[in-house]
Amino acid sequence: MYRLWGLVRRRVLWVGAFALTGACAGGEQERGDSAVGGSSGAAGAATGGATMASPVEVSGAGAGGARCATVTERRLRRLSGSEYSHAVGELTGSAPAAFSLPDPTVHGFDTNADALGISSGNFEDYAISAELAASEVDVAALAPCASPMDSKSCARSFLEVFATQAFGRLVHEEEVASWMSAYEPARALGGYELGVRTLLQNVLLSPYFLYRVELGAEAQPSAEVELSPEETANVLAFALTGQRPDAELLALALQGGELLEAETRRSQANRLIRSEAGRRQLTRFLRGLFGIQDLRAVNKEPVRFPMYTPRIKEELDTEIALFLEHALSTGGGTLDAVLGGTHTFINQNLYDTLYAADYAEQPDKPVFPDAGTFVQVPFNPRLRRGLLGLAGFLAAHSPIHRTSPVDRAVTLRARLFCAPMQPPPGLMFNPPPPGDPEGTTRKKFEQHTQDKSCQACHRVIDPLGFGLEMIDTLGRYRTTENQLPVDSSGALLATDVDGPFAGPAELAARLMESQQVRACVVTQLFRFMEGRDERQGDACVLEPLQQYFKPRERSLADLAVEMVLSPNFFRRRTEP
Amino acid sequence: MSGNAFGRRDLLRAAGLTLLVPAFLRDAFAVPENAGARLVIFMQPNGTHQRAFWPDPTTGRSPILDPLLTDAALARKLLLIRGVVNTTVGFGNEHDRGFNSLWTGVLPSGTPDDAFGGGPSIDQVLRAALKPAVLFPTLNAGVLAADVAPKNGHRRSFSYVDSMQQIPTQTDPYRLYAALFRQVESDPQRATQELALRRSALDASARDLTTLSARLGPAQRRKLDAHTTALREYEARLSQSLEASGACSKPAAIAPGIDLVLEDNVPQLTQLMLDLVVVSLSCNLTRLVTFPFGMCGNQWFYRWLNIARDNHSDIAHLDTEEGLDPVITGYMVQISRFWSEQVARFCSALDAIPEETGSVLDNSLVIWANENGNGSHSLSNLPIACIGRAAGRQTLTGVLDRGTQTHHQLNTSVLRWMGVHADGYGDQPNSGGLTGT
Repeated sequence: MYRLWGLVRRRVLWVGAFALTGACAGGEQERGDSAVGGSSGAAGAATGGATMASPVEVSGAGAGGARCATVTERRLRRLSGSEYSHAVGELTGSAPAAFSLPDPTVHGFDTNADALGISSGNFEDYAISAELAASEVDVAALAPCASPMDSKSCARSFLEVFATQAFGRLVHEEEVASWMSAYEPARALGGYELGVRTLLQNVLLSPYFLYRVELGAEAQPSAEVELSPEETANVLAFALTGQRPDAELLALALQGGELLEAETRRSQANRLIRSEAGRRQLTRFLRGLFGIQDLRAVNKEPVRFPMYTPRIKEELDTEIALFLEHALSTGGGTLDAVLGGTHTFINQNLYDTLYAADYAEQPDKPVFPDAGTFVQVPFNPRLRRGLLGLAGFLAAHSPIHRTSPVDRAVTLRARLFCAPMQPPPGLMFNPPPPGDPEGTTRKKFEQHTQDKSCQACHRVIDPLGFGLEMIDTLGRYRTTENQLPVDSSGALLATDVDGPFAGPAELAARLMESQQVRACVVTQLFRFMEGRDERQGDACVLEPLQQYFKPRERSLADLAVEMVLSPNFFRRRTEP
Repeated sequence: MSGNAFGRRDLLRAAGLTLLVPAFLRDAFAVPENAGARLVIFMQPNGTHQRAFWPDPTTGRSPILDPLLTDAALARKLLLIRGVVNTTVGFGNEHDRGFNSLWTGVLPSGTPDDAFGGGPSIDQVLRAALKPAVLFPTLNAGVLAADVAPKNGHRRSFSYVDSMQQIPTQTDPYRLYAALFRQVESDPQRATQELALRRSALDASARDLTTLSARLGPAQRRKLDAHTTALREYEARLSQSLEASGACSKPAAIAPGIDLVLEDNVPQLTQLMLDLVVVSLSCNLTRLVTFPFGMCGNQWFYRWLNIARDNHSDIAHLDTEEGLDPVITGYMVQISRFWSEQVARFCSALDAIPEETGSVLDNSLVIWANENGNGSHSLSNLPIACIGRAAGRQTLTGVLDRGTQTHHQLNTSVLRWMGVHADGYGDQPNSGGLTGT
């Protein structure tokens, strides 16, 4: 209730403001844009940590400065499922009914503008969600009306404020008049309350709510246009927080040109990314990057692994949430904190089910106050380190019945080295021989490389996956498989940190040293925030950012700020 | 819900044990003259065992197809198409291309790891050409019970409105049931008023869409066109629900509590979803259906068939043309036969529902295809079974075997069977249809 009153009070303030202002041959993908992806980052010396020059300065292309060859097209971006749920929750005080149909992901991210649409397959979800949200909202709290005789004015005021918040822009008089045409019939049917519910439903079903509008001013075909201040505020807010602009940012946008100034943007970007919503957005990015959006959706064979219960899955998800929260706050939010964190957060149940073997030979075991409470626990430093050491990550990248060194390796190469592997051509496809069903997984997969046609790629892929074989499909440490010793000797090949390793801890140490990984993370953040893949012409944005992110003390939050301040982030190109 | 497919009589019984067909059903059953054929496409993942699929030339039997071949009524309406090759190259592997390209006829789009369809799939092409005046012009439903981490989202559907614009697959029978058989307000006056409110929301949204659309270029406008179309279809369904005014017959509600992500529930989910598709087709609620039997390249264990092995890595990939490992080949056949049984049961249900001319099956084209030709990712000699007479436009029976034919030719023939003139399909506008048709 207090929160809702707070929302209403904020809206009143807004109304005041508005009134005032109005590499393997044939294996790794050969992409035209590879030069701007992760592989390019391996070359060149790291920028010295002392200068902390921004990429804008490095490139000499600040906001309004030199222009890059590639400018994103004018577009509508449908809110992703998570953005939509959050937005409805913020506006109405309760999350919408869960959608049954998940959004498609690209590179693990649900923000790709091309893949998000509304069609006959999901429109009904939106319609029903809007109707349910409207029917459940507390009208008295959301749209109080002291004067029943003047309920139409109350409804109109509510609509103006609510729509402004929902669309992230000022609503125009003619729009309000159009939407208000629905009020009177509803009021006649069910009084002021139904009138307000109807207006709310209409707003939640409007394309201005369901999409992010990035059009800029009218222009000739193939022209570059600047986004309007309100659109700029939305782009900034969604990139850094995954939601519409807050009151401060929107008020700035409505004041006109100030938000178009680079320093104002920087100050706002720094404020947003360091807010709770900013940390949530970075968490969302990292979960997408590592393919761990929701551990509750990871299944294991129930007959063989009855201990992999819904409760365990929920707890694994909590472990990841706590780990990331710690990495992004106490850990300073650096990539090292994510890849190299030395502690995790587990409870007695997770320990007993998945982690106990880690500590079998250690004299000091973790102590838990009760079965459910999560406690910060140091990893066994010999075995695990960082996010890649979490049981949830390793379970998410394993089939339901055993590990797959190939799956784990291909995921790591694609997500952290930006080096996706081309699947074998169909006509050359040569399935692995069955091998000894009682042997080790490694032994079976090693037979891949017996065939010369497979060696070109699998000699690069498999050793990376083999190095993680000490962790089973559930994420448990193991020394044997089918009563045979597990061989976890692995290696990184065709990277800038090539060399042998065994286990997640040693792998993490290598990845933390890799400039290729740091460059790839820049590319991945670009894909996440821009909502599209990089192109050849994006090099002028990505290369300075990759240079900027070389020092290991730079945080992901700092990188995100520099990215939104880069050339073209607030420009769009009209269609030819 | 019973395990049997719904028949017309079941629907009448559910309407209140009366022979007086209520308005909704009367309208629903009243298939307009020259409505053409209905289309259903089933996609099975992970290939088949070729030698067990195609009927023995001497006996006419097939370990996989026998559920269709041994039912005389179905066998008379069965056409097998041999030699079809999916010639697509590009993003993704052969599993991906089976789903993203077989029915679009164009190169995939997206990224190497996330390969989507590069254009509209045939259900959407037909929808644009035929403009079916039904409540669900197209329906994309299926069974995708999760078995691995949901990192392959692009593999959940083979129906596309446009490049990368995938139509999500409805996998929830409860939601599908609710969408097909909407609850309506029992008080007619109240119902009228509520409909007016809902329509006002939809009209307001449509106005905003129009305003926005005017500011967009062609590509972005197409995106909003799909949105607008979906909105108008939804609006039409609301109106129809009202006109039914509570008299709309609907099957008994599905018993609650089915876990939609548990693989062991796949047989039950398949039955429920197919039953709902039978009702949708026979009541003329929809005319174009796409239905995946699992995500492409899925890793189901088929415990309900007492297999308990990953059907992708530990069965399909180990199967050989010669059947060198009889256990593996046996599993491969068993799995395809399971889907054959589902298709046969579905087609029999359609065939049991009479229409003015023939049965619903006679006026339908049911295609059961596979993303791969075998367990080793082949895109050649895809197993294609067509059941039904497509309202008299498809009259062939037996095996059509004219050597290699492309998936463009297959799609072109499907368009023609559905009553749409076509010289080619997708990126091969002059491919022609299947030789021999």
